[in-house]
Amino acid sequence: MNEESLKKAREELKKKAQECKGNGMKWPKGSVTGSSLHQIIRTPEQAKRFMKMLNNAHREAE
Amino acid sequence: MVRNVKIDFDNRYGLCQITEDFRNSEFTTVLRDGKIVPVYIQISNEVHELMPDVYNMAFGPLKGNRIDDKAELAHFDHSKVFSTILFNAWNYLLENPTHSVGFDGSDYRRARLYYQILQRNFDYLNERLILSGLKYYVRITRFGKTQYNNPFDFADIIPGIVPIGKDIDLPWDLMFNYFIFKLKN
Repeated sequence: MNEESLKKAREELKKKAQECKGNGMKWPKGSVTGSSLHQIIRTPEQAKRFMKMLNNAHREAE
Repeated sequence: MVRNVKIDFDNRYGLCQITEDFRNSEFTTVLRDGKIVPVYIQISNEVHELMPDVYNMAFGPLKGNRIDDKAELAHFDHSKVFSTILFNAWNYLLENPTHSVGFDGSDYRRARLYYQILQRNFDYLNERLILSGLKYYVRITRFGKTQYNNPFDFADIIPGIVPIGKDIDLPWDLMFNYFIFKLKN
């Protein structure tokens, strides 16, 4: 890692940020997927489906 | 090959735009067919639901007015793309040293790919960042009347942050739910 060039790059980036040109831009409103926490079972319907899957796996193993 | 990504903060695309708070930035990537596509990096201004210092980072091209973090772009130089994204995250953390930046794999395959990139570049990243993986733990309640009653309380989830070590292979089905970067002191 070249410390000198990184320091320079960082200063340039800071300068660009401080110019504030990006502040007026239209930026995306979040992402399509969202955070992984939302993929966890949160509703009773999802929990029901999960339990069915678990039960089936259990029966198959018996 | 995406798996062979080599992170090098000296090998990155210049940012077209960045906001003053380092949360939003844009650069253009070159695809293998020569097309030029704008890629957005966005660090959320809301903390993670379960972790008070973690801010989610999303990156990808636009889909409507959102970042398409499921898009599969055939970048001409994957190393340069990931180096640009991680350089940006590192700079955000330097500006906000008490924060952590987290990112998700939108599916198993992508999460595994990110993990492989972190493993491959562990020494380089570990010089500046603490790398962690996140596991979610769900509470098991007292069992119901029958064996098959739902024993999980999905409203009671605890995040478990685990340091990512070097050369640790994880089976795909035990992959972390989330990856977190924190600035190394």
